[in-house]
Amino acid sequence: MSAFLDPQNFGIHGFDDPDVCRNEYGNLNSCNGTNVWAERNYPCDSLVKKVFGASEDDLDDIGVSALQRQLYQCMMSQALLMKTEIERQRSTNSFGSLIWQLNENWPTGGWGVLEYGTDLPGQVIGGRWKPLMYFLKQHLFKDVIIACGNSFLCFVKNDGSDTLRGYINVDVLSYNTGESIFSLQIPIVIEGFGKVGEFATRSRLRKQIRIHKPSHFLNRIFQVTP
Amino acid sequence: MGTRTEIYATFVMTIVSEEDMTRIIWPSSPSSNGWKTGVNTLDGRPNGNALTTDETDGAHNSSFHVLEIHGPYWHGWSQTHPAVNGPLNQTIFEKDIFPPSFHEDIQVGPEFSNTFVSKRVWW
Repeated sequence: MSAFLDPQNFGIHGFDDPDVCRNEYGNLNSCNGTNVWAERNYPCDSLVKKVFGASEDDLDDIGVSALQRQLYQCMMSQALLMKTEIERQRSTNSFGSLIWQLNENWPTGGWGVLEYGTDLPGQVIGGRWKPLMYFLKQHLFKDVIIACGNSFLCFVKNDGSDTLRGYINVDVLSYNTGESIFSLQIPIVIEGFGKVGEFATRSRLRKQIRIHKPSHFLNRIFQVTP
Repeated sequence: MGTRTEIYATFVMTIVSEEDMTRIIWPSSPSSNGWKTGVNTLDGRPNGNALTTDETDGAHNSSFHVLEIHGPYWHGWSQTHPAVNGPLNQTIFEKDIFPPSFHEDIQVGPEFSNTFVSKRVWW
């Protein structure tokens, strides 16, 4: 983006007055003004606020480091919110999920998984992967998915054709420090073709929480690996 | 069938399926009902029979199972600096969606009715 953008606009709000945008057919389709950031699809403000707790001042910041922070938070917010929704959907009896569209040149509050695709310096022909694309490959669109959600409820789903035999490693990490608080290893045998198992890790996790300090779990991150 | 779009079944997708029977075909995007005849129900590939669609009106049938849905349509939004195609108002992000909520009582497996979520978009 820096190849095209005037440094005075290095901020996700563009360091400029907002455009006036009108609704023509459902969304704010027509924007008029001088703010260069208004011409990208979809703002990212609501995502960054939701995931990182950013303020309006944070989004008004300008400069190289400010823009790098804002864009990083924008793309990670997109990936984490989409991860949440896809994990929820795969916990149901759904046998297919398709993301449309594939690419989206700007860093936005949109759904594209590839960015710029030209041969300009710093870009990758065909499109650099956004964080969400890595999430899809590593986790969300794998045949076997494991996820933990509200109330310590976890599941593993096997959409492959072969029976899955092995162990799930559950690491509960401190939200503040990233340190491991405790780990569980759970043996699993799950048939293929969409079978789900191990919804019942909740009771085991709760038992561990009683053993350890409950305050550690108020803000928790689960890290699960097959 | 019996609608002004039946030409997609009787002509367009019929030609497509005749050209390549290895490809899964689908009558529309989205299609709540899918094909009535003309494909293998296991994998959706053409079976050589005439393509026909099921016109059951799911909106007036509580036992009707929708095969395919679109969405959710989530929009990135700005309180102060709108951008092209942004939504008019804050939407899904007002909700507490972290971490996701799963349900223990959902029946899963190919023997149960399921739904395909296509065009999972965020706008």
